[in-house]
Amino acid sequence: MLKVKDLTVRRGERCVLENISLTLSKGRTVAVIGESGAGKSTLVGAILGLLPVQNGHVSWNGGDLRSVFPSLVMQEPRAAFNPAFSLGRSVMEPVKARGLMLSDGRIDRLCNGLELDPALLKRRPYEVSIGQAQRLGILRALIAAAPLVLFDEHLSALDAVTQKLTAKLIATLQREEGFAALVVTHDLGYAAAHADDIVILKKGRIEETAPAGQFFRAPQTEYGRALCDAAFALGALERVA
Amino acid sequence: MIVLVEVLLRSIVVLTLTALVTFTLLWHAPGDPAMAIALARYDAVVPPDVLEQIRAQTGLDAGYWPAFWHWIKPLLTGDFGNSSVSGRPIWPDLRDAFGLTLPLALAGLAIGLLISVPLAIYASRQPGSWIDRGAVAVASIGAAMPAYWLGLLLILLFSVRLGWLPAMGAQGPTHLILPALTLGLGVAASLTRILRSGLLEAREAPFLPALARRGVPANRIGRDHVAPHAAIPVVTVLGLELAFLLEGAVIVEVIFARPGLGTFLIDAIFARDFPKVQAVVIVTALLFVTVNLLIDLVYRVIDPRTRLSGA
Repeated sequence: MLKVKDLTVRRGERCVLENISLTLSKGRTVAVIGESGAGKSTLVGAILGLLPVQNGHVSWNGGDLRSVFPSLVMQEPRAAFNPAFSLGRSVMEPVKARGLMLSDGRIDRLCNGLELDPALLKRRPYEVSIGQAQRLGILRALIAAAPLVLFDEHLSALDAVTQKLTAKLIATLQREEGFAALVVTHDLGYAAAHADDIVILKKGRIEETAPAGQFFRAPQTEYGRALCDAAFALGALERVA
Repeated sequence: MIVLVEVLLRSIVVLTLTALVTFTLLWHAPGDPAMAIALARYDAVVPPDVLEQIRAQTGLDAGYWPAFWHWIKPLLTGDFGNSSVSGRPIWPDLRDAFGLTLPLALAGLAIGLLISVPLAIYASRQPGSWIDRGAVAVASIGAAMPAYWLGLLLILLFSVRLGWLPAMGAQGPTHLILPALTLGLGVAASLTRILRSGLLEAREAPFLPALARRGVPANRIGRDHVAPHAAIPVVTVLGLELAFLLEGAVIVEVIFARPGLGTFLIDAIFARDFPKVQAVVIVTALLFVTVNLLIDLVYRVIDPRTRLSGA
């Protein structure tokens, strides 16, 4: 179980994240929602220990999160890869470095589910489309069967059909392998369909947190209601109530 | 293939222009070249008919273009011709001179790398620390310090004051230390700055931080991701470093009275020994073109993006 307690990140005088606490159990999905600049990606970086944290701590089953090698899908699809490496080398790098044995056909199965031609693995990041790079980032995050996967706007560059297929593969794998997923997204429709819990972030603080069903039925805060109303108006959500 | 042809054509143009420019500069240099040759040959002022004879021998009397042709024609078949002063063939002497300068240049490069690589790695690990600031300051001072001054300072300290090392000549390995140090410190100064900023930039790469979380050990990240990225600007400037090394070697050889390319070239210039000067310039230019060609190829291996845009 991922446990985040009182996480605070400051940049100079500005508080980017303030006293963030959340828990995420095995097999469950939490969606982190909020406007741009709310601190969503900072939260992902802070959980992984990629940036200096002023206060609070992060643990996995009471121990060090780093020891279980959590996976990450970065927001910038191409920048997530070393341009000098073939994508296949980048995807397999953590697997090789940790000496993991992949089950037979795992790569093919993942490529299939993500609609990726395995020949793309021979190319370099600047030789594929952004959407392909994004799915290759998902492939890299899923391949090692990590117990925790952090997705930072992992579907942003995909068309609706591919989004749906990708989400389906992630959901199937999550059922089979039971990883915990923290998803940063702007897509309330996705959150409604796949998340168990919702965390609304605003200006570095948790504005609202609730089980997904409850949140979409009856958001408790004004900001939560505004978000839902906007999503209804855009047709991204169907009224649950 | 097209790239190779392009590079070769470019090399030919560079070499031709180099030959033409050197020839023109020597042609228009003040003073009578025939007189300079006569002085170098006979160590005395000679009567006008001897001067005429020299002009006829060296093709100087025929005018600019015929004289240029007179020199360039044998060169096209690989014949550097004979010295217009001693009459001896140039190539064996030039080869010997290169043979003396090459160890100096290589030792200078080795010292430069031995100092700059660890210093830059150490400095870039803690940017802004006193070690980093110190390394940058030393590198800036080193880059601003001309070789002839540094050479004299080293002579003053190690030869005159301490008496540890010889100040001149090329009799043994100890004679190589001070000249190589003079050259190497200059190389270290520029390489440290470039390598440090290359390493800092490489460590900024957005994909790096997450690699450790994915379970890639730090030494592998350094070896596979940071080092190749930081090597790109270093490889690029190695061509320029070669220029610095040869130019520096010429100066350093004169300071330390070492025989080699430097003394060979200076003697030839003072004696207006056209063919000798030209030979040095052409061989040096050829060396440059070759090294830059090799760098181009290495670049394509370590940075595949150039392969994409260059092809």
